[in-house]
Amino acid sequence: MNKKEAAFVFVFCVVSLFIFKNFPTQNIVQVIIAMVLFFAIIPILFNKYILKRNLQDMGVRLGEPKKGLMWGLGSIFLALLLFALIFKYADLLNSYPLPKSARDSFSTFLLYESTVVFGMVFIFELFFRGFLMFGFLKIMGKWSIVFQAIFFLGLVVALNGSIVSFLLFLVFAPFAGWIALKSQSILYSGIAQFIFIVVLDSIVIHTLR
Amino acid sequence: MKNKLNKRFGASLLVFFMLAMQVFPIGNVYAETMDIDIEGEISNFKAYDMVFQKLEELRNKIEDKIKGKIDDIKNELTTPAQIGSQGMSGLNRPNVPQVEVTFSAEDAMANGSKVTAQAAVSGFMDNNTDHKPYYTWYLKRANCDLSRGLTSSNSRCDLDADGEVTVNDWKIAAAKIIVQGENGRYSESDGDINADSGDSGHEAWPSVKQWKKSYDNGADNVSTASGYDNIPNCHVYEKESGMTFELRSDSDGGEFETDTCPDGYHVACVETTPKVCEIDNPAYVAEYCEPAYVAAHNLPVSDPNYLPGECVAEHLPVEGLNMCKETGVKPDCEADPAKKSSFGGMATCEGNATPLCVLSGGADMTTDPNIGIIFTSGNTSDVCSEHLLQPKVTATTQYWGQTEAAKCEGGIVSTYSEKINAAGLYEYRPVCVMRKTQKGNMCKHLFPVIPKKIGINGDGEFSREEKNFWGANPNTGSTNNVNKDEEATTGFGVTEFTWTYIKGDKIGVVVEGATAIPTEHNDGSYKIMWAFSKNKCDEIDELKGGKGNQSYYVESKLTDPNNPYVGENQIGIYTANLDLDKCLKDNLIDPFEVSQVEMDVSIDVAPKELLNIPNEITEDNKVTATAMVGNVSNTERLYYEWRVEKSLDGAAVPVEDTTWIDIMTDMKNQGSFKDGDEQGIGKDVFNFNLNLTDEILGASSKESFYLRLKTYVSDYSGDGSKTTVKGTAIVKVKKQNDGRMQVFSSSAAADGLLNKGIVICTETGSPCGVSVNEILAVTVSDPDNSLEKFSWKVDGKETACNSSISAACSEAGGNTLFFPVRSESDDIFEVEAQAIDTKISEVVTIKRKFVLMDPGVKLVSADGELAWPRELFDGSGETSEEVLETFKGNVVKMKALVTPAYKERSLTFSWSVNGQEKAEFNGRNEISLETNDKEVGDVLNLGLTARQKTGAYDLTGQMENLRFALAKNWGIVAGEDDDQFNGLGETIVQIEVLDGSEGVLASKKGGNFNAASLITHLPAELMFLLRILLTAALLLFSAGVIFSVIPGVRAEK
Repeated sequence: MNKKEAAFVFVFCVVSLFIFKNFPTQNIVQVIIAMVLFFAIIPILFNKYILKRNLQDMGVRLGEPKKGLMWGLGSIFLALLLFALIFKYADLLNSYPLPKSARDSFSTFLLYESTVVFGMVFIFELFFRGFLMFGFLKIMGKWSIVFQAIFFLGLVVALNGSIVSFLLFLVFAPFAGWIALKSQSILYSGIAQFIFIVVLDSIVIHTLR
Repeated sequence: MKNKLNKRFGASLLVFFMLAMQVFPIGNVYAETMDIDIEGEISNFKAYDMVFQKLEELRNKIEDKIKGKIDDIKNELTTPAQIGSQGMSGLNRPNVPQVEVTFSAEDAMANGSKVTAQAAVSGFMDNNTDHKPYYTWYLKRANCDLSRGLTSSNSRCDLDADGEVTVNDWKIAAAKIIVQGENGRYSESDGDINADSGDSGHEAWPSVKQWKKSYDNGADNVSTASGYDNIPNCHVYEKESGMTFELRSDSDGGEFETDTCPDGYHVACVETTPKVCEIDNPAYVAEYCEPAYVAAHNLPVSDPNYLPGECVAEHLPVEGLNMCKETGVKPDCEADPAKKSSFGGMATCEGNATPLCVLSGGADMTTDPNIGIIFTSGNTSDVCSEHLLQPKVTATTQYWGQTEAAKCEGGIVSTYSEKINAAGLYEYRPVCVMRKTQKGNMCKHLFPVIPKKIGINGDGEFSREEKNFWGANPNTGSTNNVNKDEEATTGFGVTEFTWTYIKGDKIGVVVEGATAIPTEHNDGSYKIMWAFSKNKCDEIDELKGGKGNQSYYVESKLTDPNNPYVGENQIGIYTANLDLDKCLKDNLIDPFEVSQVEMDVSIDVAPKELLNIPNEITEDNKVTATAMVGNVSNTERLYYEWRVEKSLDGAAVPVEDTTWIDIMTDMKNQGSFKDGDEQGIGKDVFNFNLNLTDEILGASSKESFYLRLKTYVSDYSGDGSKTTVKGTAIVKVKKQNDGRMQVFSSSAAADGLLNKGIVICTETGSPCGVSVNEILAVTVSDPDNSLEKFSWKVDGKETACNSSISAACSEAGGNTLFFPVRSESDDIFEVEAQAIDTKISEVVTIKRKFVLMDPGVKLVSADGELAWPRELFDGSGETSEEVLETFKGNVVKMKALVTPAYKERSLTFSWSVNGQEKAEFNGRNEISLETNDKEVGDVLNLGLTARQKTGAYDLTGQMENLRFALAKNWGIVAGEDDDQFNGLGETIVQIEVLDGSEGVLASKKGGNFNAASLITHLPAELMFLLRILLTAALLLFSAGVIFSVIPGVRAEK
């Protein structure tokens, strides 16, 4: 990917996210469809038919399991440590982004984690790490980790979303980028992110009880 | 003890009989008790009065006997010996000192919070300001268990730097906190070295020089015997036996009475010792033993069987003898367990030796061993005991057929077989008396002891080194601004101890002070005693039953101490030798376990009277529940969870077995509170509306019901633990039952007297629409006839009805009210009736809401599908009241809408279309209009005029009466143009005819569905999918095109 191509991809990402933001949706099902389309299907199609690359270039491959495992565990530990500090100095417990129903019922919690969290992790990994980070890796090097994280933050701000709601994803974004970069696969970053969120959710529920 | 019990039992029995005598002054009861043959006595008298006289005498006899018995018991109990030695037990148990420790905490015993322990004592002479009790507090932190050595974990506990953790370190830990107060530690550098530190010292009483064991066990510096006698004694109390013991060592305490042995004898320890005596050899000729003579006569002198006698020896040994010999060690005098009650002493010797009165010859046993010895022969091993008083035995031996007396006969003890004196005592056995050991006072203060090189705690001097040790302010005499520094370190009057609590802390206090119990000594002194925080001490408990290190001594009350036994002039005193510091660990209290200082929560509910208004969210049914959490300083960190439950007992007052059902879900569905309000950190206030329907409440009671509010408050104190407490409040809620208040129009007679008219506003649950200057009547239905004493409020103002207003109000406090609707009323106002429900003996409140309406009439479409109000702006949702639309061909239905609605019954309507009056519609309140004959774009002007009806509802004649009634009863003058008293005027609407065939403009309600509008009716989700897929395709397509035409892109490929 040369600079022009990179610029084009960047513009494409901005435009597609702009369309996503402004596309009228009326209910949660439509939001989910839009998210899947804009964050997963369109990037995959763009990657395949326009950039003429295969899916492996987006990190959808086995990569290096050892590194993935090692950096994944390390990142989970560091991110939890980071959140311990956040909890200590910020009143996050009260506004922690976890539905009350998931706090109250274990089965709902499982359903929430396995659908909402898993789905979000899946599409964010595919778009931000797979499409964006690996796409810009060649011209930006490791800075692509920062780039995708900032882009993610930009998306959240652009969507007028609460930073707190996406705080877990935002905080873990650089870690996920690092894991994906080291393991050459978004599989481990996705799994690590998923485990991290489930563990943190569990800790918060336990603390609040 | 058994004797004592018997005496008590006997005394009780006698007292019982005395009482019985008062109840039964004569009769067989006591006669039989005293074994008197009353029948025999009676038979001696013929006349009954004589009988009674005799009985009277008998009673006197019996009373005298009983009185004598009681006096005997009294005397027995008041002998000096009994009171002196056992006065602490039985009937005369004293007020022994005790201490009770209570705790208060500012933050429910959270880590790092301040906890205060308060000691309340009893039994001490607290009013004596000079000798106030000493409170020795001690604090044991979790890792500061007693330890002989130090490790990394407990090295900080060793505050006296003696290399081990002792109770003294616990005392220092507490005393440092007391002396430093809230200021924390001062260091030497905090003060001017030359500054006057003020009066910091406190000299303890008794002084630490007298009670020298307070700081060491070295030699004391009291030089004279009288000095020892002046040292105050101290005592401990053993609760089970009820005895007090003087703390005193009994070593060297016994003294032998001067006359314990007869004249010429002395006290000695004697023991049986083998003795070899010798006899003279009568055949001995010295020259025969000359070696020359032996050799010349060839005498076999080396042969053991050769006994020529001549030359063997001048003296020959006699073996197999024993003697009783002084050991040279004086006997000791010890307490004799068998003589405990009489404080008798017991002479003891070491080993197998026996104390004995031995004949004194002025000779020393070591040089003249034959003085005071007794010989015996044979197998007797214990001469001293078995043959103590036997006559002397002259040892003999056969020697070549001759009997020779042994030469070891010596002094004898006595020639009597036994000598027992008149008192029944062996005269030759020494008797000793336990006397006070001069240096035996074992009293010590339990103050914290500081290293000797720094100073002595409680000596009245508080040096800079001591200041530095305790962390006291060098510039002032009182660092904590409460006590002098040395008062604080000795605990002088320190009844409170406040420290920073850490989980695992344990504290204790031991209080020392003078009690009101006099000592046994003849010096007017009072006992100094100790009270422990748990009032227990294993060391002291061991003293019960004569165990432990205890003894006694006898002290003369007078100057003559001759009598060894306790008698009139002697007093016996029990003593014990124990270290009270060992009691301290038994008295550690865990404040967390014993204190009631825990977080608690109660709920305050406002307002006091709660009203449930179904389906309505207003200020009237708003409830604010506030959790009041106690014993927690920072309530912001608490997590609150609120619950609301309803009672299944309806209006009945809830009791213990009332069943409560959680209605939080129902309330949430009902919108009683916002989601998330019911729990969260710092949510100590829970606001909700009582808008519960009967479906939620169950229609068990029409008047009221009970709710139970619960809050669970959790405190995450930061040490990994969580404390949750629950607060509940049961509240009574009254139901708004506006259906009980019926509303009527009213009619008036010419004299202004009012009558109820027709029922209006039959629909309950919504405000009743009324207009200004209407006169309304309201009546509270009372099918049970249980309501009485009504009082009324209209729009918050008290009002009443009387017979001058209406005959229906003839009864004072009746259930009917007439009132006018005033122009100054709020747009929505309330009529409130309060009455006493005699059935439930309670004040009930019934309310009804009214809304002010301008009286009038409007024309509206009766079927919105056929004609509808025109939208003012596309998409705005606002519609016109005057302009309606319809499609050509629709049959438009229009109706007259009258406000207030009930007025419709008294109105009649006339209609006009495009100015032409339509007589066929007259009198109807709803009409239909054909539009087939109209052209698209035509506008129909539909007019309606409402007038007062004639006939049954004709109120025309009433109008003047009502005006009069308004003026007469309430002083209200209604204007001539008041619509209330005229018709409701005229209204006109326009109906525009549209072309119904245009598909895109098909009926908004789907009434004119046609195929052309198919796309409009595609399912929304399908449309969304289609749109988004097209967008995606377009996006990708555009990207592909641009990508392929931008030069340089993908150049490397």
